[in-house]
Amino acid sequence: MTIFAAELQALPLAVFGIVLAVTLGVTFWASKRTSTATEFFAAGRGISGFQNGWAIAGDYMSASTFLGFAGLIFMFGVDAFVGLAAAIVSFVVVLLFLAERMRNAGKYTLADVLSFRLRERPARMVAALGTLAVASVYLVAQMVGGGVLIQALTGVSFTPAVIVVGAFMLAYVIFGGMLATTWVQIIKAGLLMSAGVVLTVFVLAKFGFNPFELVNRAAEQHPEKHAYLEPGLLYPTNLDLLSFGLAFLLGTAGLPHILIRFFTVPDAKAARGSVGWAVFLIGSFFAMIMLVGMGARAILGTGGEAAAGSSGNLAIPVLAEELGGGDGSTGGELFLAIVSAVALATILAVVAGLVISASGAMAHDLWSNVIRKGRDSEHEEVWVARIAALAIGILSIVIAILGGAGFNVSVLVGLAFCVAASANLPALLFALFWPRFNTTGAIVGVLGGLIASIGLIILSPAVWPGPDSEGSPLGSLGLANPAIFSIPIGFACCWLGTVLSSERGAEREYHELRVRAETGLGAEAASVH
Amino acid sequence: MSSPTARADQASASATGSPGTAFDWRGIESSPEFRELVASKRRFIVPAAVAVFAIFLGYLLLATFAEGFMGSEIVDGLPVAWALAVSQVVMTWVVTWLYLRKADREWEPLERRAAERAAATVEAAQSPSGDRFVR
Repeated sequence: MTIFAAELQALPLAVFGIVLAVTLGVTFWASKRTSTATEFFAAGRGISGFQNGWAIAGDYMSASTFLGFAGLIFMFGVDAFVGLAAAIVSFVVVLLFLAERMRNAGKYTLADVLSFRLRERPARMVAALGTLAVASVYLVAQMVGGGVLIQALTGVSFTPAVIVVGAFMLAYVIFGGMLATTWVQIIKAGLLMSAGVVLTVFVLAKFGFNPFELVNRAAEQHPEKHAYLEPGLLYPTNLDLLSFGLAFLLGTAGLPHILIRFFTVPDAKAARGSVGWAVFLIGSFFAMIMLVGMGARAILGTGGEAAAGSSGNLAIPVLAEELGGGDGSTGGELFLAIVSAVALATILAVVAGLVISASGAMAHDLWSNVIRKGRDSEHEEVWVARIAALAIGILSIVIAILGGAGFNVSVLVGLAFCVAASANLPALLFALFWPRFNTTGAIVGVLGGLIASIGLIILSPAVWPGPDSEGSPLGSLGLANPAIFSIPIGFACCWLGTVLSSERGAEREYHELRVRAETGLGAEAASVH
Repeated sequence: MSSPTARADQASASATGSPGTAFDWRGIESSPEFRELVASKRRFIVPAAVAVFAIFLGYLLLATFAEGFMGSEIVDGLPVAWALAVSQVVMTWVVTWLYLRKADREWEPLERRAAERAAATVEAAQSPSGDRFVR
């Protein structure tokens, strides 16, 4: 195993060190305040709406948002805008249907809301399965993406990079629980927003603060010229773009690591307020990324493509170096180092959120309520959660290393959003809004959505080898992201399972769930410190 | 209650017996306060969701099928694709702001009144926050 893939970049490593030291300090502070289950899973429900808004932004915007989307804009232009637009509009779904109701009716996990009115054990099992599927796929994607990035930015090679990311992620979650995870996410969101503002100002300054001039120059610098400003360069077929947009639009509302953030605030008012802050931050950042991505094209031109990599992932670091004064200059190296550190913080915050959501599903749903049937102590539940986090973390590290750069990160991210939208979201919405919904519907719906997403992804052109992936058994119907098929399948399975089953008991509990979800009556209170 | 074993310890955790009896959930649900709350929320949420979905799908369909139009420039250097993408961000902000304003001004007082009515139906000795979940 080689530790160093290339010449070590001292400055990025030093800035990385500062970021890691600060987050470890936060974890130490949080560890003294994390002992009960409510503290471990939900930070004692003491996070304010404002803080949670920043944490949601930190939890949501991954390295693929910061570097990936900017790179796609650099390479392919406005096609990548669609993903950003869908990703921000998706919070409308979260706000209108889920944020406050989750806070009012749930405790630690998505399964709490489902099992409220359905048969507890089967409902928890399928809900936990949905959470674990999304979290593990997304986790492996983030680990692989992070490893590749760190290797490119610092010269530390892939395997040790993944191990370091995994070790810090586990330290935050195991010792500091949700409180440490939250503050790592807040710090990361602060770094990310600052980096976005600085890059935007520096890019605009190059064009006399005239964004129209920037756009014109960007199109001139692209081999496709004016087609750079039209959709169609990134997605080969029309259906691909539509499907991709739908996956992002509905996927956010099924992402467990985002939804469990609403359990960390004291009440529904803070839950909805946190969405307000989150959409302000995420929307502003997306608008900046659109400018910076095009700015990278205008400034770096075709000459920057080699350095930015085949999917443009390194366009922002290369741009930062150029803005700081260019290759070899002190300013350039400093800018590169800072942007690299922001990218690292970004990866760490997202993977920590994913691990804690998965550990909640294992400990609270599967262990406490399914295996131990609620007879375990709170102390036991927290320890099981720590052990589960360790197991999930190590497993994802091993998978990321074994699969290595062979994993297609964008396929995995697309799969995670697809499963979230097709398996988790239909069951959650039906449980909250459809009196007739029952346990069979939840089981058939989650499994159907899960199997449809994974099955169609496996059959998709992105997985099958050969030029233009001609080997795909679905032929021209095979989509890079099957959301346009799998989401309706998920909803249909929930409905079909419900109406084909004679079980009616779930309706009685619906009245209680409905009153709780809408009014917050009897909701879990914040623990007193 | 479909799974009595899993929730066996709830009866002891809650002084009010099974969680269903702590409040008269059906009674609250059919109270005028609760009906008004739910109707008021629905009057906002359903049209807002339909409008947002329609506008976003319109944008998505334009991006998919009207490539030339998306590339045309409103003024020199401002392609339609860019303006529409930013408009989605602005739309999200506006809908979120409207929702938050509605929730603070209209729904919160209604929620409080529904909760007060519920509390009035329960004896003073009973805790209004029964531990609903199996730990």
